[in-house]
Amino acid sequence: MPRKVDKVYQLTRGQMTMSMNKENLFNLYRKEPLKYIGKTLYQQKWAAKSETRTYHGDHIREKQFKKVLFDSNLKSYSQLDSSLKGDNTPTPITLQTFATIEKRLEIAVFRSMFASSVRQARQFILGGEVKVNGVTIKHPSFPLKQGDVFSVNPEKVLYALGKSKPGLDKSIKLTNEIIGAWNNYVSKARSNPKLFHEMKQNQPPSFDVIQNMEINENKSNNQTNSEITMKQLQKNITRESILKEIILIGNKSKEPTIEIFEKFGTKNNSNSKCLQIYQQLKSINHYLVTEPTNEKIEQFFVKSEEKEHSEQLLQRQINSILRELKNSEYERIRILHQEDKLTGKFYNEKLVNNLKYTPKLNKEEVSEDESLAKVDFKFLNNLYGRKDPNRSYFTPWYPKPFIAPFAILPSHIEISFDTCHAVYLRDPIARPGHSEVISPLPEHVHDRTYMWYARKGMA
Amino acid sequence: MKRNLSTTTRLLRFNRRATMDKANLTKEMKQWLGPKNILGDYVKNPYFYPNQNNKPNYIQTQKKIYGRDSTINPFPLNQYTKTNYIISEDLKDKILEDATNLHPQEIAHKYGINLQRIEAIIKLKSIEKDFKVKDELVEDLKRFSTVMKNYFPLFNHQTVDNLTEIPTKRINDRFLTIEENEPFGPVDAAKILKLEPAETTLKSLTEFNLEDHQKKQQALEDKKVSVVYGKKREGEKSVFRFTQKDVGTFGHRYGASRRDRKKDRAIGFDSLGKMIYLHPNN
Repeated sequence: MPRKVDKVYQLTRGQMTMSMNKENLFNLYRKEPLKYIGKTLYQQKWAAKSETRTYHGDHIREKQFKKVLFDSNLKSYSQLDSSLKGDNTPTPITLQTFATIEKRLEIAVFRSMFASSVRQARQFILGGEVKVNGVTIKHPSFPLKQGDVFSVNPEKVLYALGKSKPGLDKSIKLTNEIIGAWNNYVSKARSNPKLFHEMKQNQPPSFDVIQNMEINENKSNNQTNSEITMKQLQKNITRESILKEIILIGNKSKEPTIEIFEKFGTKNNSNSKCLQIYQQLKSINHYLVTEPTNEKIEQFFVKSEEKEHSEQLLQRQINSILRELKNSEYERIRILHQEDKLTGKFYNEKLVNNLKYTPKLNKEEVSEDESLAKVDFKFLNNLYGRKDPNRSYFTPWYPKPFIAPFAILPSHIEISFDTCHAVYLRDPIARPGHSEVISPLPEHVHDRTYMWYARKGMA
Repeated sequence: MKRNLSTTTRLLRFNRRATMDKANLTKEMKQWLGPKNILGDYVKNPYFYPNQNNKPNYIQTQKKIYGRDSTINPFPLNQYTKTNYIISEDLKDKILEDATNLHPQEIAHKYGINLQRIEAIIKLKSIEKDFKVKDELVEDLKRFSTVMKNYFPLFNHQTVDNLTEIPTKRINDRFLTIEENEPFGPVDAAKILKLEPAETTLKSLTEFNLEDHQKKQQALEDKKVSVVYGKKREGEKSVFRFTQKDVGTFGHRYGASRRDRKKDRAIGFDSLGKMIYLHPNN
């Protein structure tokens, strides 16, 4: 087994490795190009070799690399299209020095982002989590051929690329800190609701892109949902339904007044119109008042010459008022929906009262039985990072910190993230202006490395 | 007089020591990572979260580097390393649809994607069809794949591959790019391929040398092995058989090095994924 990486040592050396940790990222950030001033050619080659070998397979012994892996014949690319002959972009051919190690299974697993470092990829392979063409391979040095399909156990991939799962004690502590911060927020908001509202409106957008994405998704879902309900409500409103409701409401009270029809709103005198209809029917003791069934109401609206003249007149009158009422109902629902959408945009003193203090978790009780933890926030419904305590990673899954600068989609491997499978297309090659061998080091360093290994008697 | 063994100048040595100071470095790193929130996340660091708009947030250096596109080049010092463009699910579905009636080569030409990549996409899509994971993992795996897919730059009509490339194994090409009106004959071709002219090859094929032929025939006849059976004596289970062999082509000479004792023996893998040594007799 290769030696363990000492991160502080790596920091003082200032050389990058194939790993996604934050120390390595800092090394990448502060990396300065190799200086050759005052160095003999031998020193230059030595320094270059040391830099490149730290990144390209530092777990492979030097003897092994020299004897087995290094090949002085580097692979290049041929251009068949003669129209591209004039393109004078140089081909970084010396970067091919390390093309031979890219075909090793461990490196390919790391390159396809199924492990966060080469050492972790080796662990997965030795643990039997990696398959090549459906066969479990336990040899990290397995050489991949063109067209090989390899896969890693999805649970391990989620573990490697996910945030680390907090232990129970730590999770309880962090959850309690979140609760404490929330209670602090509530007390501040209650003491000064106006300031709280302004703070909420002027809150800068979070850097947490994933959380933002989910919030936006929920928002758009809610919007479409409320639009659908609005349309449904409007569809249900007919003159029959309004008339039925007016009679039912009117029948409930002995002496109907404007107030009882407040449901229909006060705009355009809707409530007084309702009262007018009810009184009109009540005064002649109409059959609808005693029996407001759907059938009778439908019968009432049927136009026919057979009906009595007074009945026809009444129908016409009520119909015209109902038409107006229907329009005002449509408008009322639309406004209601709009207000609902804008909730929170306008200052509302009552909103503060919705915020409730949350009691902290009992550490002793929860550490004995995890399921006793009761957390009920919009943003957190479980112990922090332990939604499913049986998983080995932070649940719900969250990307590992600082993977962004290291995530590089390789050109020689086609990856399916949905299935954690990948196809090794071919050995990486170099073409004008592009090297498929991924390396943080510049070409002049690789030139000297190649010179180091290709010298007489070495290979 | 004190002998100075190191050829490195004193100034360089001093600088190196200063930059390798452990305490300074950890302090600098903490500063660069920025403040932690109550959960221990470096929320103010621009590299803590991966971007989700198909524009990767690769590391930015203080000095701007000429010619570097930080959404494509992940490393500031090496502009030859570029991230590949991810193929969107819609395009993958289109490719899969075309695969029912078109040859992969035609699809490659249609979309400007490498043939090997097209074949891999079709293969991976077929794997995806029958893929099953534990129910507990489904949601997390979906979250993982969307985060990864939203991170890399998208493949579009401006980023098509060059389909006229052919990989070769040598540094000196066997292929030559020439203009249409450039004169190029069989002799030029033979030079590039390092072959003898066809004339000499044909001559050697047509000429028949009787003496050579007889010699070869004789050698083959001499090679025939003769077997001598031993006499079976009382109490013996089997008959001894002696075969004629040439010294040096059979068995191991005492003291000679053998392949199976060497450290860098050629290895291979059998169909069950078990490692085996190749050429055990060599």
